[in-house]
Amino acid sequence: MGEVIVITSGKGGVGKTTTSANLGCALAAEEKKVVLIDADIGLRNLDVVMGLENRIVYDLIDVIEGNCRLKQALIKDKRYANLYLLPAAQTKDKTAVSPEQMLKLCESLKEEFDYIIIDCPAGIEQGFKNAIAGADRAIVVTTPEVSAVRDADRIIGLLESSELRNPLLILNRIRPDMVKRGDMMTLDDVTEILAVDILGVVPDDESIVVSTNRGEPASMDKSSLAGQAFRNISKRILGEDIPLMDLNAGGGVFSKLKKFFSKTMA
Amino acid sequence: MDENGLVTFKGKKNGITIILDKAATFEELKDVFSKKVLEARSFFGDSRIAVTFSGRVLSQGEKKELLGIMESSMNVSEAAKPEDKADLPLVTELAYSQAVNSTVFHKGSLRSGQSIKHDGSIVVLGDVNPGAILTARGNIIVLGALKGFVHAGCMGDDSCYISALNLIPTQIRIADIITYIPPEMNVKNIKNKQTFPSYAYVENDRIYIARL
Repeated sequence: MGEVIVITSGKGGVGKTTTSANLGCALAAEEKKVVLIDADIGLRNLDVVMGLENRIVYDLIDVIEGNCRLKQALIKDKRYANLYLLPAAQTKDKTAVSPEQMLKLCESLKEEFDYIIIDCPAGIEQGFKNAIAGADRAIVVTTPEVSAVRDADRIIGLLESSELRNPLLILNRIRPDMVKRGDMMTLDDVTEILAVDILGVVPDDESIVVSTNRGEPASMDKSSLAGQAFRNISKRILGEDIPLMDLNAGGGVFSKLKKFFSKTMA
Repeated sequence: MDENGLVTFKGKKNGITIILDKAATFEELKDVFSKKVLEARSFFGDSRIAVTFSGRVLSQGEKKELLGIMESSMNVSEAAKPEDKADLPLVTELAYSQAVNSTVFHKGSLRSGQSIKHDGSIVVLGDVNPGAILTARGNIIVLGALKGFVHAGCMGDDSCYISALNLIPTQIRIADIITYIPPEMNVKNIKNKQTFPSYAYVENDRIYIARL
């Protein structure tokens, strides 16, 4: 019986799609059966980031409307044993699906897959409500910026009132050099406001831009620092206790963990 | 005591004011009242009359009784606006102290977009994050960091105060005064500055913040 995880943020552009793609690949690399669902109807991106857009025949709306069977719409990623993508429609919008329909879809996918990762659109309206409808847990992505944290706080409030309690946080695009200069919020600053547990911290990395353009998620790239962070996050989802990467980011968590672990994870 | 002095009918532009003696018992008044009503019946006839009671504070029950006595003889209704303004402050004071005494307690933090509006005072056991809004007719106390929008005494009472363990609201309002903490004085902007429990109050039409 699978687990449905929604990746949400409130704010746009903080890294939900990037996170969804990378976590999907990393979990698949750990031999799990994973399906990615792009819930951003009308502004689909997950297919592009995954490099699978030219293989789209049917999409989420086709499945909901009964134009095809679920299996026909799922695109199998050839790079992994068990990674599939259910793309969104580009010619419709978020009113084309209801929360009940999303819930039904997730229930049927749960029987076949270990992890169902839903890429939630930005905002708090219909798209968001659709995306969280079938979710068992939520991961909130934010960048260390005041505006993103403000929106993340709002989203966490909405998640909590939708019974998706204890969401986990991914702090994305952190720049250790700026943190050191005092120009960027630290992990502690962010968690002080949001008061949720940290799942991981991902550094700002040029390799993300490159990998997005190529359609090859960074978690597949051994030399990418951000990719390493996503691989660590996926291991934590699977229950392993991996310390946060030493990014010299400052803030209590890093220095505390340094004392416990003598070698830094490569 | 002269019976006639207990109840006096006074004709006004918009109806009649019935002046009731303060000292007499209600029963005594009722008696005299009924007699006076009968006497006045022929004078007022069937025209619609607005009635105001004055000289003595009546309970709702007592008012109803007197109006009832009048209604059996004439076409009366209680005046919508009390003409004797002396009655007014007493009534609103009572309502207000009742409201301030009604306090709502909220356990847990308020996230951005969440708000509490209360016709009384508010106590929050937790933080109030930026983007959260507290509006109270009375006082506001936050046992945590107050970073959101806060408005105490929202019906115009500037004797209300706002208190928090860490008072760094985005914007602060008491009654009709709106302001914010200037950046150079805002503890939020000063790294490692110690925070103290503080409270904000109004003096001379300005908001001051003092340590508790």
